[in-house]
Amino acid sequence: MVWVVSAGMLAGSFFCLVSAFGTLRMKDSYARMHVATKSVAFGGALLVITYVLAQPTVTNLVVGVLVVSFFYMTLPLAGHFLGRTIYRRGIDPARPFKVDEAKGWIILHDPSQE
Amino acid sequence: MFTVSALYSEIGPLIPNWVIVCSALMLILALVFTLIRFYIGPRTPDRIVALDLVAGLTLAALLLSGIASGSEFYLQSVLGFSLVLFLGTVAMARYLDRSDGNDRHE
Repeated sequence: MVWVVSAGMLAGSFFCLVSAFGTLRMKDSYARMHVATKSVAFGGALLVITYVLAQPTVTNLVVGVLVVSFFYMTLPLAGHFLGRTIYRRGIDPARPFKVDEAKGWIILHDPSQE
Repeated sequence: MFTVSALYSEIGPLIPNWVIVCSALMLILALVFTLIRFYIGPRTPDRIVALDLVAGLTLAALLLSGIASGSEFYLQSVLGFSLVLFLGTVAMARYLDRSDGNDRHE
């Protein structure tokens, strides 16, 4: 059991490190947004599961389920908001879009209109 | 396996020391990478992404210290702090979405 908890701690920290390394190394803002929100949600959820395994009380089980569901509800949603903001600011991706389905639906930001 | 009693952990003191040290070093390295991105981020949304990641890494560090120390109250503070993280990121993204946010002087 101790080794399961140790492996969970190391794996959760490793996925957080992967997320930060991708944030440093990715080429454009969209990829950075993606890697900064999804991977850290996985690492945090792994750490929460490790926490519940390390201290198996009923309170920790209930709160742990709540925290994991909050992570997986809120972090990709925040990533969605950030991606919409990046698109609306008119920041170009590293390679041009092959298909741009948001064109015409998300209006680009124009400061002269306000 | 599941007990109701709090303030008791069998596993916390048994974790090897090098596991805790290696996990903490990985989180510190991740924070350094994220702060480098926060410093060199060419536009404002990159900096907001880096701040969001800093908040997530803080949650990870809180969970790690909770596992290592054996107290159960860290998980409940993580529950509250994750909501603040989400609201803060959404507030900054919406602010940048609606304001003219002139960052073109860079």
